[in-house]
Amino acid sequence: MQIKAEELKFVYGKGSSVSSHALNGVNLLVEEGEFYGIIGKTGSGKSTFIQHINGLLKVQKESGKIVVGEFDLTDKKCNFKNLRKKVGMVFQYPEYQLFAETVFDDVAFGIKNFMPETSSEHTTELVQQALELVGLDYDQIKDKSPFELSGGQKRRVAIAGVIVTKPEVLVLDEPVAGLDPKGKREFLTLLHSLNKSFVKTVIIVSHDMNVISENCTKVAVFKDGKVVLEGSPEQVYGGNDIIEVGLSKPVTQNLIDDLNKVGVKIDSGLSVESFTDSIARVFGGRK
Amino acid sequence: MPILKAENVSFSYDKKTEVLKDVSLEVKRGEYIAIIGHNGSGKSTLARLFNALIVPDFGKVYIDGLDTSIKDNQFKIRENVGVVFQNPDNQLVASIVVDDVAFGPENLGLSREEIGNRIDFALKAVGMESFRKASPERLSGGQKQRIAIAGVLALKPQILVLDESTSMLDPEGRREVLNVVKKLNKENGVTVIAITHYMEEVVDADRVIVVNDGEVAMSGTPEEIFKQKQTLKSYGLELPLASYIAEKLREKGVDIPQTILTEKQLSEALCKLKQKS
Repeated sequence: MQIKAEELKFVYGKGSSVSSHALNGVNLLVEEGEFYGIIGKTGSGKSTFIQHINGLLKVQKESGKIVVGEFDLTDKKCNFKNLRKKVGMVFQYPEYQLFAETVFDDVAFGIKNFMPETSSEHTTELVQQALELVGLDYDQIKDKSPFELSGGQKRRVAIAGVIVTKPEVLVLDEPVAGLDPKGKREFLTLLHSLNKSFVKTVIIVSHDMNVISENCTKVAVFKDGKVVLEGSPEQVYGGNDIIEVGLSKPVTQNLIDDLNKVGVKIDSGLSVESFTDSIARVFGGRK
Repeated sequence: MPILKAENVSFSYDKKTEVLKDVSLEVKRGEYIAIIGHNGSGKSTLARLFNALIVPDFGKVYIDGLDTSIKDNQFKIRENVGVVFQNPDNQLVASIVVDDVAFGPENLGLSREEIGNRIDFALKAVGMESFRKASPERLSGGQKQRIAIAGVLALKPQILVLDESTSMLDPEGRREVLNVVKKLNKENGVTVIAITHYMEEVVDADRVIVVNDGEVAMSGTPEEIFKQKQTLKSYGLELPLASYIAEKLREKGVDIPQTILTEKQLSEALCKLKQKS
């Protein structure tokens, strides 16, 4: 499913004296299959935008449009329930949203909600698949209380509860905040493997430029409710526009810039693997 | 005398699984300590033991010589050990900034004048003087966390404990908070114990303590700790990104020293290579 926003605007408290413009004409195209990164300072409109993708916030009158696959969200007849089944949304600290008595019930909730006609055998099958996809042992974990799990496990359970209905798009707000280094790495690996499953497109919002440059195929930069920069990580972080927006560059890009200043041109991607390969080539290391 | 001393401390929430096992450590007055460890390693439990929110099942914690398990000491200990938690939204109690900072000193039963002085001191220390009349919910995450720190500082604690206090902040907010904390440590001599997942926040500490499965597994300067890559890895931890890149470069045959901890050091090392070649 392609996601396309055109001149999308949004005002909180519209018509009141305290109204504030959160989106000021967002134009953005996310193609199917991308691992897409959204960055921008606090208050730049990132969260308001992603809440449009599954219709949590409705497009206001004469405020542009957003189309997600076959769903035109400005259309009065848009079936939001079907849309939300196709677009899974994972908020910040999703582990705080676990509520059921057992892991099984928590994960199964989405099925009851979106596919009430599902038989209990099939529900069991789907829950098992979802838990295994996020790397948890079904038999070991299904009857546990979500509250006795570790932080990383809870977050996996929360994701399982979203992917259990097999969404094609997965949107995650700050997916690795608060995880320890190992948990963070494992979680990103998980997102990449999901990106190759029925989840075709992954969109992450993050403040961590190193996470974005290492993982994303494309990046959009939000400022004052608009997309001001867009492209591959190399395009977005390569120039100085990103600094003018008030954001920083990933470590690899800073090192490339520093070397460039002393006359060493490094033609490299921004992932650590690509960067270290290029450096090894230039400074005569082993291939 | 160390300002903080834990002696053979064990603790369990449910009387079954021990979250901390026989932990002993000492913190010197004025030290900047970073505590790292994987999720569930027992780091946050330590923070709660330090200001007597919980007391050890076995062993003792002493703050400035006072035993935390003795009820009569606990009020004094909480005045002395300020804890700032992860979520800024959970820590602010009043609808304007100045009232929030006043909450602690008011509970100490201080004079109006002294309360006023302490508010001025605390807001100035975190660089938020001009926000006295602001409403906390209108502030950014970094500003809120600085107000939470001010609320703690108004008690004039000797120890400031940060329990993942920057993890919900954006990079700018994180920088603001860290700068304030470093300044308090350097200029006001406040002892800092920072619990964090960000390896980049660890490299400036005087000493790093690694907690693994409820035990103190390592303790040393950042250089000493990050030299032991394999051991760290076995505890679910990693090197700071700059050290990790340096490590990869060495693996690929590039001549980079082993001591790299920061981006700046790595950049200098790479630029030196250019001069050599």
